[in-house]
Amino acid sequence: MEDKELLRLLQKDSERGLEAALDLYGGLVKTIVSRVLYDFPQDAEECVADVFLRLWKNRRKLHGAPVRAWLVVAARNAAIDRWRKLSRSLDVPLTEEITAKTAAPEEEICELIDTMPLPDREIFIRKYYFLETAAEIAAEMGRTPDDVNARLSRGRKKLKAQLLEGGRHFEKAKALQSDCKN
Amino acid sequence: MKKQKLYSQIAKIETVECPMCDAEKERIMDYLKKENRPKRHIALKTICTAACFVLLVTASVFSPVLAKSIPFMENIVAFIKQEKLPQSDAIDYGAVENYINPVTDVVNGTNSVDTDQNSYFRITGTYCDGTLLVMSVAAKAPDIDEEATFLTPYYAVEINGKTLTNENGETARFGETNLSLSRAEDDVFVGSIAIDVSAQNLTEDFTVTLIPEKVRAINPKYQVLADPKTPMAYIPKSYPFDTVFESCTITVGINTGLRREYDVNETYDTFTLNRIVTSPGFTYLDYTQPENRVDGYYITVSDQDGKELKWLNEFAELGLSKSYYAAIPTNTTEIHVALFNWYNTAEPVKTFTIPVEGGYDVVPMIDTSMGMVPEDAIYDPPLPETNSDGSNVPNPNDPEYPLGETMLSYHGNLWSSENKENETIEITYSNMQIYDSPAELGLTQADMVYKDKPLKWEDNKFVTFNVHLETKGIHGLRSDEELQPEIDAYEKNDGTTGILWICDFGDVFCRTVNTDIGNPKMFNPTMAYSSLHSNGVSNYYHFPTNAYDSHDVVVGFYIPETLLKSGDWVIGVITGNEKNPITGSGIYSYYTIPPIDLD
Repeated sequence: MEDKELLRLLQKDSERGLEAALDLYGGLVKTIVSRVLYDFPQDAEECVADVFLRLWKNRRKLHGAPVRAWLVVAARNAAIDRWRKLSRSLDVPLTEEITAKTAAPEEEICELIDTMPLPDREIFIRKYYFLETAAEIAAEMGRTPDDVNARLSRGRKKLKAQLLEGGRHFEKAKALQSDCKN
Repeated sequence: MKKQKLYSQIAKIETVECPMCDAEKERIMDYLKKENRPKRHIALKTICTAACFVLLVTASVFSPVLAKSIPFMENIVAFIKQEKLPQSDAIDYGAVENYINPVTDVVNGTNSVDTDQNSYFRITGTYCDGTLLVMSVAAKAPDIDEEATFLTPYYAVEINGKTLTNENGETARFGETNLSLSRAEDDVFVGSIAIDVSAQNLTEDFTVTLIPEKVRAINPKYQVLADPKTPMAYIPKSYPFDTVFESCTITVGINTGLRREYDVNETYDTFTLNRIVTSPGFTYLDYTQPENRVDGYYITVSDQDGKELKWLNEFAELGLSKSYYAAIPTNTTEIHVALFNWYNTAEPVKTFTIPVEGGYDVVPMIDTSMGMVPEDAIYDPPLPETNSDGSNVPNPNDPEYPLGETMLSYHGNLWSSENKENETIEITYSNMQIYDSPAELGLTQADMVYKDKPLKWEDNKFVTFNVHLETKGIHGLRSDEELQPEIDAYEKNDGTTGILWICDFGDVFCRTVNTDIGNPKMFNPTMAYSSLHSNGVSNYYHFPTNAYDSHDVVVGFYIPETLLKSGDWVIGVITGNEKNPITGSGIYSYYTIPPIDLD
């Protein structure tokens, strides 16, 4: 089913449209959400539902945006938001992995990604939007985890420099500083 | 990188997916079916108060899904943040959302809980600490155009039956900056209102009445011209909307226990910090300094770790002074108030340290790229091109004037008065001088506008112009009632009626979009120097001019040598918005600068 058809169906018949969206993209959204909320399966499921609810609410606004990509970004953001809420109400340990996921500001990542050569670009998108681990990225792209980590580290340093330049988002840059050391 | 481009990159990437089993799909579909039916949870509002609470508790036990749907109406502030609705920037009140009480009391029946009715306008939740009143508002408007995404009511407010007034004693009318209701469901719009009630000296329960007057239905995605004759003044597209909402009245309880006050009473120079008040919505600095101290101090507020608290400029719009900062989080042990001289914000001249007993469960703002005007807004007519630094590229059809010639006409969104014919501004730029640095001109760092930001431009020259400026028949641009709370020293100048604010006059613009000037970030087109400050009118880069005024001023800026040599640039004049002189509202016109042989 093409995106246009899916969006039309969502507008015309919400139930059938959502069923179709779940069939098409349920696994993808669940995968991304679970990469953040792996210790909270019930929250993960609610989060997946929230993402599709968001899709339904935005059905009129997705003019030409690829639904799959929109869902990837929505799933990532929803999962991180949910994790932030959980981390406030529960004693959730601040793992390095999740710190890295939440520290970088989206706008700057977008700018940075745009300037990257192809392999780095895909690595960064996989890391920051698909929330894959370095090992997963390496396996997907036929590289070594060390190579992936080196490229991610280089990218973060560049991002940090970009943030510090002109004094923008100093706090965020400081947050990234710890990522750069990893 | 545009979002579309990012999306197309993401769309190309495959990842290893976990399959979703049928049982999972079924549970999610059940959730979505419940959430998708507005009437289902709206209908819940018809249940009486006690039953509603019982249901909330019961639902929490048996159905997390249903429990979630109730706060949607009761705590719209949290909902707006969760959904990243565009108004979320205006409700950054720290922990307020954790203390919002659902509205259960109906004073005169107008805040109807009968949400099955065809249309309504009602307050669904409130927060009040005695200073800040926040209200969640929902409106149902079934007959609205599907394209409209916002309702923007203009409304008056009564507290204990007394209408809130402005400084002139007239009824204060709140508008879309205070309340924009975003479409949350098919025909339901939600938003929140924040009102400064500090002047009311409220100590016990009080009644609030919202009286909607005019309501606009808009879609900021489509931007159209407010007046076809006025270029660049875009407003969101409006849709016909005839529903007249009833006013609504509720009783609000004050939770003064949320406030904590810390006496300080310490003085530095002429500045005295009297006390600090914290609440879930803000941190308030109560300080005094002599009124004739026009420059004052630049103040920052931070916690024990140096993390700065955001100045709540939204509060300034609510009528509160500029002394309000973001709420402190629970782990705060100290508040640091640092005073800086305006000309050196690198090192504070004084820091007050105030021990505090913790803060509040502050909910961080969720980053959202959405604003009232979305990034992908469609402009009709299309926006003019802009340079990489955001400055406007001169329209090739706009007139350009040679140096020394008086410019008699104007362009841009300059006038708000109806009597446009007799209003003129005449500007003459002349006597261009080129220096290697401002020091050659006898200027010091203190003469420069951006004194706290060292200029590190290499391969630049410092250029000055003499400017003669005359205004004639300027009136109605800025009246007494439009005066904003004091912004900085220049606001203290007299002549409040009929003022035209000149700001950024002398801005430098590249003539072409893609002019290669090396690193565009190093090209700051804002004027760096104006000699006008020496006569006491302004120590800033903008100043007011009254009807039939004339001024002679020298302006100066750094300009990359490459631009000087190529002559591929113009200087322009920007006038201030009549309500906010800091914001430039329109390019006046351009002066042609010929290529310069620097050798």
